[in-house]
Amino acid sequence: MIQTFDDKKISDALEKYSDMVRRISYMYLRNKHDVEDVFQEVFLKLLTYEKPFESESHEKAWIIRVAINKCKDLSKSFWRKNTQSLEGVELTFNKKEESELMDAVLSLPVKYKDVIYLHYYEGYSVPEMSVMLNQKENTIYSNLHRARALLKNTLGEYAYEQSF
Amino acid sequence: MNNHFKTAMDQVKAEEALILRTSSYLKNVENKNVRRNHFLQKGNQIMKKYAVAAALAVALIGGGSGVYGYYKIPVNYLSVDVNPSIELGVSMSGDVVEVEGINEDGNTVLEGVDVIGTTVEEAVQTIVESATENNFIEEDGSSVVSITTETDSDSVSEELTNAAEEGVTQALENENVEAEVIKSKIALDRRDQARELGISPGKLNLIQKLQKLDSTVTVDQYKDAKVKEIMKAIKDKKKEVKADLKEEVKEEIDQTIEEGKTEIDQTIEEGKAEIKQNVEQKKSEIKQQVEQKKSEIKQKIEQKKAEVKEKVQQIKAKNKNNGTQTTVESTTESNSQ
Repeated sequence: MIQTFDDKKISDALEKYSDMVRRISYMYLRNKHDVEDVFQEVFLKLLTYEKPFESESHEKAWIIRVAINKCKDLSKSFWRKNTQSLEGVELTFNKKEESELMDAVLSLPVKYKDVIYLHYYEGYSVPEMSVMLNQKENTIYSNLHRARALLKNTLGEYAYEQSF
Repeated sequence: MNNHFKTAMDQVKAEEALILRTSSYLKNVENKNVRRNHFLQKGNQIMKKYAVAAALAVALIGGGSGVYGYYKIPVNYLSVDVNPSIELGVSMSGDVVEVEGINEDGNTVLEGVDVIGTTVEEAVQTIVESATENNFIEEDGSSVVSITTETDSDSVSEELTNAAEEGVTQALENENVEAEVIKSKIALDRRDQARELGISPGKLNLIQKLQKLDSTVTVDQYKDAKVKEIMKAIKDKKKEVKADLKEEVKEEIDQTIEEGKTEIDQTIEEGKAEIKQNVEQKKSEIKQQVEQKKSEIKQKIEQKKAEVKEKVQQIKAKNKNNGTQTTVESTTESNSQ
């Protein structure tokens, strides 16, 4: 049986979450095709997800998790590690400070990026992140701590204070 | 307060073109493809990488057919064995992209049959139907159809097994015959081992099972046997092993009982001896006591006798004295008369 997805469902999902998924993929990926891959997979998974979500926040957390996992998979992959991306997805920010900060954030090791994004942008607490990332709270704490130390080191104390 | 991170991230937005492309992808993807994609995601990551690498190599060497090649590469395998042995190569998208008869009967079954490009279920159904029509499935229902998945992924193995089982069931139903279906899975490296021996991996797996039960069995011995025969050998061997085990257990029980019996007898003997000894001791004690009592009594009697004797003596003595007096008195009496 051939069945396509409801157009409205597709546009609703994209409208609601595409910016968020884009932000997550921005944290990890520099390649246009990878970003497109993430979009296809995340939204396809969302449309084929059969169980109802308990709440709006449950749905959002689920999508964040799927997106982060896919991004990490792609950023770990053999081809990404061994090939230079041909088309970078460079963004310019309004302020110089913002550009400098984002350069520092993007140069963080992958394992620190998720806590920085989840905590400082989405406002999740350590226990919430522990559930989402399936890691011990202690691990989250120390990752957060190390990420901050790295950023402070790169940006300098003052710029760091202005950033978060 | 400044929060450059937040203000910067707020500026990151999904590009219009990206949204349009994703939307059109989602609109065009059919549920059937969704299932296949799903299958693909579950596939072995390493194999996926190799497949991609291989496909790219093909693309570099052969030009524009890279994508085509990518989909045509088998990454997992499934072997169907009755006696005919056939192996299917399955691509990442779950399609049959390769088929091979591993023995002569397998080639017979495949004559005039085309399963390339079909799903695993359809391919297995076609193969089992053809095997039935070529009289490889016996009418008495005694045949055994073995399905063996050759993959390093448990989830792929499960999907392949389910699809193949569905195909076998459908074929048996269509042909109106019965057969036993057995399922197993092996890792890809064991597939290579089987191919070196010129045997289907499914069959090798069964023979190795048999070898575990009977180390004297060789692969050559069962290379051309039907699955049914190997299964029978396994079952017989299992029974034999079971019977041996039963015999062993029985012997052990008997021995234990025997030992128990001896021990009980010994205990009884010991008990008896102890009782006897006790009785002897008691007897001698009693005897001694009796002796003692006897001697005590004897002594008492002697004492009494002595006392009585003394008393008698005393009385006698008294009586003697009285007699003199009487004589005197009677003398006196007679004198006065």
